[in-house]
Amino acid sequence: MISAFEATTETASGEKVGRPRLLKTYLLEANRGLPENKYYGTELSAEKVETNIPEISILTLKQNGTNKTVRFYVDTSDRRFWLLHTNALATDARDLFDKLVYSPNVSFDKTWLPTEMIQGIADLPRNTFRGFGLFYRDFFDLNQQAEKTVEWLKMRVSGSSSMDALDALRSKDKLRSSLAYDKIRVRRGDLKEYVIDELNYDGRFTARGGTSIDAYTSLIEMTVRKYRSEIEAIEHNSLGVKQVENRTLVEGEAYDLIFEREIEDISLFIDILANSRAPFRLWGLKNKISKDEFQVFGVDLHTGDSIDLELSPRLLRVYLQEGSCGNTVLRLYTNLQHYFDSNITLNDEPLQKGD
Amino acid sequence: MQPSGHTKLMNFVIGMCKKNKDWITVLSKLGYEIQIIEQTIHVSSGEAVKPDLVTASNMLLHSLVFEVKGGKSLDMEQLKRYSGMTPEDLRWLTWLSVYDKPRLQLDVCICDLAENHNSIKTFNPPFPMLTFSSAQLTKEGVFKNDELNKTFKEPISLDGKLQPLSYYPFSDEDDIAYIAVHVLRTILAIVIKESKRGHEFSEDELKKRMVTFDDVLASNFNYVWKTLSIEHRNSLKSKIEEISRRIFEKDDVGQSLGIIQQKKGYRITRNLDQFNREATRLIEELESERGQTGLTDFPH
Repeated sequence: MISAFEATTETASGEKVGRPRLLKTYLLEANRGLPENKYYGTELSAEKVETNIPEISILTLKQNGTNKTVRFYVDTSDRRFWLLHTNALATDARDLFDKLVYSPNVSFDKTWLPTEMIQGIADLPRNTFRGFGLFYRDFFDLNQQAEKTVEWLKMRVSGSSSMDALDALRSKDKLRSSLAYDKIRVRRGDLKEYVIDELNYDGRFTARGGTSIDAYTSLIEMTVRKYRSEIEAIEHNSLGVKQVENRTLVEGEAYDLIFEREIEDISLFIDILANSRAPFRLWGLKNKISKDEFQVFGVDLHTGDSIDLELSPRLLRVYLQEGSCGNTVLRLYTNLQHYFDSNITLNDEPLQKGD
Repeated sequence: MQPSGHTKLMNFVIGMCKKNKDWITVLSKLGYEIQIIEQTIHVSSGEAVKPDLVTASNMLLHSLVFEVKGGKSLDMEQLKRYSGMTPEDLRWLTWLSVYDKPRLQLDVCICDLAENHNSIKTFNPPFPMLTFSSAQLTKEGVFKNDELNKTFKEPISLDGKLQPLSYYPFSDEDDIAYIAVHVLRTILAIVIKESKRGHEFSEDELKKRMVTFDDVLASNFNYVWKTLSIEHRNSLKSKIEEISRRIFEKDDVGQSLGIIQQKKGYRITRNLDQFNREATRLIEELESERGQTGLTDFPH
């Protein structure tokens, strides 16, 4: 159902068979369409071909100067959250998808699914948890002399007792700040019609097996619905000046991202956080208010919106201005789970599971 | 680099009306919401007052009117005008969102910083005062509303709190360097945003746009722009224009902006790093020039 084959050998009947390739879907947040000047930077070329269905197009991405080419079937039925389907090799597809998202001329971003949200998706009706992967890397390991907690952690666990294994890991003090989902594997559907699906924290779906494409697409739809609800809630609360019955009101509220782990050197932390590079994609000028208090006057490179941050050893306060993209908060939150402290909370509470 | 006392206090009060747990949320818990910033209110005596902030609580049917004093002095005439202010003066205002206006009561409150408090006190303001130090918030005097007296009866510790400073980005009382940080950041934001829209400015176009900006553009620099008084806007406008002019006189800054907005795709982060360095250098330069009376005194 969901595999194509990489041609490697030819059977007696002339049919080419080879290593099966899996159906993959990349969930992309598009604040704007493809650039009119069709310029994607020096490394990437793209060609879009329309189909008979207005919402579906074929986008071929090519890495300039190489043979690396990937064809995506792009579903833009949802104007903000696009689905890019492909059965190309995962490494190529991922690499070119990243180049597209990070191309300076576009306003694209990945979707960033925090661990709590992924768990919420795993717990959906008709889903059975089949395993998980963890990924953590300490980007902010600034004190080379100090006793290390966890520098790097990557593991995969599968089987019916996966959750017990995760609980055992959570009980280890040394590990508790570094347990963020890289991916989960779920079985979705009933006995006959089902899919075994993997969902990564950066919005990638992979069909690992099964019999039902409907089960596969319904998991994607449910994920988009939850994600959109979280993003819209964030944007609803952004800071802005609103005219209400002749009143000009200052509305909205900052978001407090609260860490369990203490930031040892806030200045250096900001240098890494706001260095204009993926995954955080923030540019910023820092300002020291006191020994333990800093401001960052930032720009979100995903959209070009201004963003203000304030930091203390256990807090990152985010001021999102009206019209800015709520994805920024989830990008920060999710990546800080993977690169600093997986026990981060939003406004002192775990993030909603998107219920 | 510190924001001005005025900017700090405006943020502290706005922050008290929000739910951020790492700041004081007492006013938010009592249902107070920010109603307006710097709005002129005509009082019964025929005079006018322009409070820095007006908050109101539906829960208490009460309005807390703030005069924020970042410096050491008080305008006695202004205080007299506040003395003539009655709940009636607020009841007819359409922007005040209280469900039962006939029962609305009000308190005027002076808000100041501990380092200036003794000077402010010499003016004997006839209103309760809230004073922020780095360690605590203390009340002096008595509110007409008892809930407020109970709430502020004991000093509120600020230990471990992170002061909010971005609800009210900057005012004309801020140091040039502090305003310049916002201006530099906003120019970059505009350049990046426009590039993503497929619009590339020439350096001249960008410069012209920044130094003769309108109110729409001004909202990019300071999102509460629309709420500020005309006088405040004019004062800020001239400062922002001067800073913009100063920024574009720097060849290195202009050049790095130029490369960023041309977006030729190669190593854009390197140019953003460069812009960061140039911007930081300019801010340091402005800080070192602190003490001059105006931007026109800067050497060109």
